[in-house]
Amino acid sequence: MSAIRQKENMKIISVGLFVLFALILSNSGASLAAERKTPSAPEDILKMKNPVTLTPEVLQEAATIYKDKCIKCHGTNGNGKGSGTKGMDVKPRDYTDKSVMEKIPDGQLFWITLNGSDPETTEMEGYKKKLTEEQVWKLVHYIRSFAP
Amino acid sequence: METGALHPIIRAVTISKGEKEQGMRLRVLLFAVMLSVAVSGLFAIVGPKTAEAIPAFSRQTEKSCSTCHNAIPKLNQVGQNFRTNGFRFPEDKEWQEIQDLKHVPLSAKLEVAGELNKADGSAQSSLLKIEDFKVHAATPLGKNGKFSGYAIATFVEKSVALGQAYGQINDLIGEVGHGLLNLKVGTFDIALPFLSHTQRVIKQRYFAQEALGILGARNRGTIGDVNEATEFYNTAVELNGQVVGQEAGDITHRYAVGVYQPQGLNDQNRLGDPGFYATYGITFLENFTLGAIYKRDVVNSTLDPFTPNDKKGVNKWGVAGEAKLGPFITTVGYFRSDGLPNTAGVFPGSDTNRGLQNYMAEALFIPNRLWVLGARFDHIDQELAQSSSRTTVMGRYNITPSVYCQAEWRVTDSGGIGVVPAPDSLNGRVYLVAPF
Repeated sequence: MSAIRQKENMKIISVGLFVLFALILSNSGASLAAERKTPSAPEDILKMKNPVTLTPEVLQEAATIYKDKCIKCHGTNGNGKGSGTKGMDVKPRDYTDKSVMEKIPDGQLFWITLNGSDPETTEMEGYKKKLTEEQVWKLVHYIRSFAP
Repeated sequence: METGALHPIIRAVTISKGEKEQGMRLRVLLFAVMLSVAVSGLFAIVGPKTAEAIPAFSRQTEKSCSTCHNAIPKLNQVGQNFRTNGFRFPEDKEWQEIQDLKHVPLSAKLEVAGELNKADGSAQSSLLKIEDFKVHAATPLGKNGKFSGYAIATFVEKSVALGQAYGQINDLIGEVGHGLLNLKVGTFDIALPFLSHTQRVIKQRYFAQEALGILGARNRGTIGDVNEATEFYNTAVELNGQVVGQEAGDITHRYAVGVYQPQGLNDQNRLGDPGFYATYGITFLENFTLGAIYKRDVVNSTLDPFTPNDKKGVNKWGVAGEAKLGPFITTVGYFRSDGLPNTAGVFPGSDTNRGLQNYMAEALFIPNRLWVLGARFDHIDQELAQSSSRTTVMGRYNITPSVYCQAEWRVTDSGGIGVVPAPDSLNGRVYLVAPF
């Protein structure tokens, strides 16, 4: 095969590969927006009420934990737009949205904080090893304070 | 001699030999494929389930790989923040837990590669090999993470090469843990924060690296195949930093200036002719990034009668942009370099004083955490002379969050520009990468 012919073939293959790739992308891209699939806590946990009494000291302690562990993603104001969420397709819950937060029981917030959320679409990991259950319940109080 | 002109018995033997060779080749290829599948399966069963691109970071911070990577090893915004900030997260105190070194800050990575090469004027070749084995250490140290260290040793083809190895003093000004201004000394990747050869998802090298030496150091090709050789980095002293907005939509600035030891010089008086570079990147509207890089390299120049001391300063610069739109990440770049006169083995010939320019476009499609598809078009041309282009498509399957297998198909339309003048070629690559 002549060098010119081979060069032409190379170009055809290059363009062909690019067109093929573009077609795959254009056909599959539209239906691939990431969706939140938050797992649900077990029934008995969902029904739990916060066992920690709400006091200013509890809120103060929770605020410190929040600043150390949560603020990067959940944001200073709890709106779920912390610096760690830049470019994230599924952002953390907006704790300031009262209509959303009213539907989430304390037990669900507690359980997700301990065990993490959907690993496929979110970066929320469980804090079982880093926080005690009491600290997590205190955090639940603090989270509620964003949408009183 | 044509086979048809041979005696029937000799012809039968010749054909049988040819068939035997072909059969042998097929068996070797089949064996390579089966071995790759077997090793992949083994890693899927016994491999680390939560280990990450650099598992030591993951173990220390207890974060998943996707916290810092769009696709290994490409860093997302959080990963870029973490790296610039001396392996600490700026906005919270997670990084403080690292200082206790409750996990040894060591990782390793094994890379197995299968190759298929078909070039003009050469017989088709195939190969299965251990691409490299890397040992990696990195961590912030001190009560406030004031100092960070990073080192990679690569074992490849019976040699040991030191990859990136540097130390960084963090937070020279500003609040502790925010990395507003840091001093970095050592051997590392000089490139754009979001576009560098250490962040390539598509393993094919960028022309902007190996031919222009803008994104990272030019390839010296002293170990292994010149196109696949171990990366080489510049030794440099750098002031860098970042301003990261507190909210997702805030603008982020990343900057660096430094002096480095040019690689194109001979061994005499390298410190007497330092190179200089500056990079800047800005991220806005959360998903859009623009960057610029300027590099003043110094090379030997016995061909150029107008430069003193047989040296020539070479200006290089480039601009690039990146957009992340849902599962797509698209990157485009334009890079330019003065000619590189008399750089032995790189551009031989008498017409090497002409400038070079490079256009690059790359798209990654990451629909979920299992699959990555990508394509790149990379084109380089020399003023009033040849041009060369490469098209690469790739697909990756993540066996575990960190262990993956990847296939690439590379088409090179070579005009004689590159590390060495190369013929047109088709190349297939299959990788199995296992960090632990």
